[in-house]
Amino acid sequence: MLIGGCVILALPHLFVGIRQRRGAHLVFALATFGVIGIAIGELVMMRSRSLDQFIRVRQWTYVPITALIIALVWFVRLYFRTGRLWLGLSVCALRVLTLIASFKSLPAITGIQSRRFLGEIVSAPIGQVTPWIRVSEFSSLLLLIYVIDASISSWRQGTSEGRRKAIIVGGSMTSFVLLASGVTALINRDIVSLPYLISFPFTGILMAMSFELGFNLFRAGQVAKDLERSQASLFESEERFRTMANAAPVMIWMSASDKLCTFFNKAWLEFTGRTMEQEWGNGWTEGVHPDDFGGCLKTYVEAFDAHEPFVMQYRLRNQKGEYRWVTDKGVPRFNRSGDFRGYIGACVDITDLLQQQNTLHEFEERVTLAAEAAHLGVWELDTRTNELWISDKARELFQFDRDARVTYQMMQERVHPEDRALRDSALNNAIKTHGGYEIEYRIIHSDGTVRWIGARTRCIADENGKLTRLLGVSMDVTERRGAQELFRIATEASINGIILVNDRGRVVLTNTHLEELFGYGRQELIGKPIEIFVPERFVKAHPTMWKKYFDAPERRMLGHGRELFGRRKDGTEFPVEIGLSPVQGPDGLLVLATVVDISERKRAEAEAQQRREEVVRLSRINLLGEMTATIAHELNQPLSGITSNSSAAQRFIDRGSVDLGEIREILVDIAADARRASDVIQRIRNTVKKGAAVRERIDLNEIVTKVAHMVAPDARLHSCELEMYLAKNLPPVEGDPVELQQVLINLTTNAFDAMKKVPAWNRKVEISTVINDGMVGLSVRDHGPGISEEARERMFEQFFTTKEDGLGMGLAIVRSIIESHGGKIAADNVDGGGARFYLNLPSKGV
Amino acid sequence: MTGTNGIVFVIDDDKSVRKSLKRLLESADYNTEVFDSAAQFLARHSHQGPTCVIVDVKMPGLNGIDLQEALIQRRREEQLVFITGYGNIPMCAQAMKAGAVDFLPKPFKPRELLKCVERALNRSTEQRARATDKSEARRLFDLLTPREFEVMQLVITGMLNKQIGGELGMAEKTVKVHRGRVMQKLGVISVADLVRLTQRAGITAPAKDKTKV
Repeated sequence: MLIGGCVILALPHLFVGIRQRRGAHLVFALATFGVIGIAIGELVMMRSRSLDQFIRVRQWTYVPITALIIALVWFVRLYFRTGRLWLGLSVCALRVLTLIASFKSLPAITGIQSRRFLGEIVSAPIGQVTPWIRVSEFSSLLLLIYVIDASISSWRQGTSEGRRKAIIVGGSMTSFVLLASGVTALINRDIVSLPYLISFPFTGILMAMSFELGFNLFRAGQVAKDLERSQASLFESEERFRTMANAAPVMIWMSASDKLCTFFNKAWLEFTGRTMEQEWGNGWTEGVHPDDFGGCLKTYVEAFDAHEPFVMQYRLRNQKGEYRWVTDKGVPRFNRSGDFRGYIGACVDITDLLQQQNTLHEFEERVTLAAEAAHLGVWELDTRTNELWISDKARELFQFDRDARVTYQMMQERVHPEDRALRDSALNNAIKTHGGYEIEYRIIHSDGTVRWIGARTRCIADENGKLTRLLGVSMDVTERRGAQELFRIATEASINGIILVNDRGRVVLTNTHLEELFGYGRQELIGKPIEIFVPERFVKAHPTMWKKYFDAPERRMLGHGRELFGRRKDGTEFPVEIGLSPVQGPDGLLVLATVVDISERKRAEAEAQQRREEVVRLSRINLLGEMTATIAHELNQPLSGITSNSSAAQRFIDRGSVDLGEIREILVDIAADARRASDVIQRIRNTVKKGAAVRERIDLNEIVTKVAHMVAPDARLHSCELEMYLAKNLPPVEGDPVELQQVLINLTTNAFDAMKKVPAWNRKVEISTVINDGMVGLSVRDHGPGISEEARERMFEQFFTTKEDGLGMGLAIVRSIIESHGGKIAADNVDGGGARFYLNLPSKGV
Repeated sequence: MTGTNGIVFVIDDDKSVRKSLKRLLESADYNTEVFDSAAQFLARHSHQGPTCVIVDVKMPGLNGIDLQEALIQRRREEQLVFITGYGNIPMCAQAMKAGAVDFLPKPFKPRELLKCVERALNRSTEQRARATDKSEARRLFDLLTPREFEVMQLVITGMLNKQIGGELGMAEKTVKVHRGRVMQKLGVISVADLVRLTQRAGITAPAKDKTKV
């Protein structure tokens, strides 16, 4: 009965064990068979009537017992997956020892007796306790400990499964061992008189295990159901996935964890022109270009093994048989539990793109070459990736090594600190407007040298308006800047105002001095018409004049014979001198105008003129003082004449010898003297009075004649001869006859004096009058030694005289008189010897 | 009034002045000659007889002062009257110191001028007389021998014969002899007369180094 039960319960375990290869169950089955064996043995023992039979059977029963124990230990180990190994092993070892010993040594049983047990008569042993039995008992004890320990460990695991196992299986095993060993020990000690019944308690374990089995089965059923469900949903999502994948324009593939491809979407299949079955697994690799296959595979496998995403490019044959470049990106996929499930990837045909890139690359190369040839540095910054491409020439410009990695940051750092703000603001502005900028800034080389860079940069945006690239072209403009700088320094340093005007009459450039002169800021002037500087009354006519100048540009000063004025910002005017100089500029003809403020000069001139007049006036007065002696003399002569004559006349009359004729003569002489005196006084008055001069119509010939008469005695005295050459129809001049007489007297007297040392036969003074081109000319020529160099320069100066006792005023007065008549006087030496004084006076009327 | 051969010369570069002065002087019965420059005047031979020269200071060429100097250098005895359109004190002083009769600024009072002329002519006459006198006296002294002259020189100092002899290294006797001869030749009796004669002749007392006058 029991056996039957065991067999039945053991079988499933056996099945499970074999089918599922679960060691625990197999072992348990083995254990069960062991129990079966034991049970058979025990049955036989119970039925045995002879002691020998009993003992023999008992011996043979030890085998299954040992097998059972070993199996139990193993089972515990496998099922619980806990249990101390050493404990278990020692248990097994002891049992084996016992087994061996039982066959070798004497049995401990001395007899048998019959007992009544469960309604039958059975044989029960009567025995002694031998040492070997103690050993076996000890091993049982160990087994007990082992099982308890394993159960506790299993409980400690905390899982419901573990606990369940611990309680049910562990508990039952513990009780079995306890019971079995306990009863046997009791039987052996004759305490209890029972047949061996180890197998009986085993049923507990059996039942427990059956329960377990049932439970597992149940659970398996659950799992299977879940699996089925999840499989269904998986199938559903897979379906969805498939739909999407097929709709995608991109080629999509999927592979399982074994690297074999499981899926290709419609796009892929259309591309390759093959079927899914053809591509499955590794079929797709047939389409890969043989040259690329090796690398492709390598990348795939390496990434796959590392569960890493990958990108690779290779050539794939399309349905037309052409090889197209594709870029293949694959990523690993994991399930919810994190298990690696394989890869999924996408391919894109990049052949066109590559071509474009090539073209672009070629183009870029050409541009770079051209730029290099033009000494331009080219660079391009991708603002999204912040990657900078920079041409060799640009590297040179910015002083980067050929192979060094250059960032935009590094370029920026090269910029001179003072120029950074300008450049940054230009750049920001360009970015904002999606335009470009053109600036010049300084960069500092590592050795400290400063170079000027002229840069043109453009911002490239994508279709969303977001900035994608910065393109720049740079050039070293240090020389030009240098020249420009020099020019700028020169124009700024000029003490004159400088304006540069273009052919449309607009101001292109000014310097600071000009701005100061006119009171403008530079920004107010650039681009304005040149008329901004011209006084309003001239503005209208100015553009015409300007155009005329441009038609025939030449370097010259403006304003010959007329006054030029400049107009300041506040409207005030000031006199200027302007010089014009045409310059060929890069865009056409430019005019460089220099403006000098001559108000100071004019003022100085006016002042000088005033002073001159003052000097003349003072000198006149001074002259007067000087002349006092002369005047006195001049007056006294006629006065003494008068007194002498009148006294003489009286005496004649007193004497009684009155000759009326003579008296008459005397009276005439008196009158003449009186007139002479008054003339002198009049002259004095004229000399002192400013301005108001005598102006009459004078015939110069008359003056000459008169004077010749007056100086005749003088001439005789000096043994000089006076010759006159008077022009006919001499136009009259306007002036003071007395003064002009004085002039002529002075000149002729000088002429006489000059010829003191000349032999008498050659003492000739020639006075001539001529008509000179609207002027009346008069000259006095002598045959003296002529005028010395020094005298020539200074002879008309005041206080200059060659005479020992001369005042030096004669010629100065002469010049003053002539000039106040609006004429000019000069002197030079005559070829035939002697000096000639000549003067011109403006004629009045016919 | 002039002596029979008294002349007044007028030198002035101004015609009117010359003319009027000539008239004036002739109206006062003076013989007059006019010149328009000092050079011209100098070119004329010297007049034998009392002379007055009326000359303007300021003239071109040789002026009045120059003329005065020239005349002094030539030891001419003409008496000068200066007239001038302007004059200053130094000029005037110089002229007077150099022996001018007078210095008259123009315009002068005719009467003044005539007075000057008269004075000049008188002076001239006197001078001439004196000059004649002198030369006559001198001629007398020329009759003396050198030794007699020496003695005479010391006699007029009032020395005694004995002293004279000692001075000249002669015996008193010899001195006496010489003295007698001197008196005789010169036609004087007293020492006083002798002295007067020497004065007339312009002979001065000998200097220590015995220079002959």
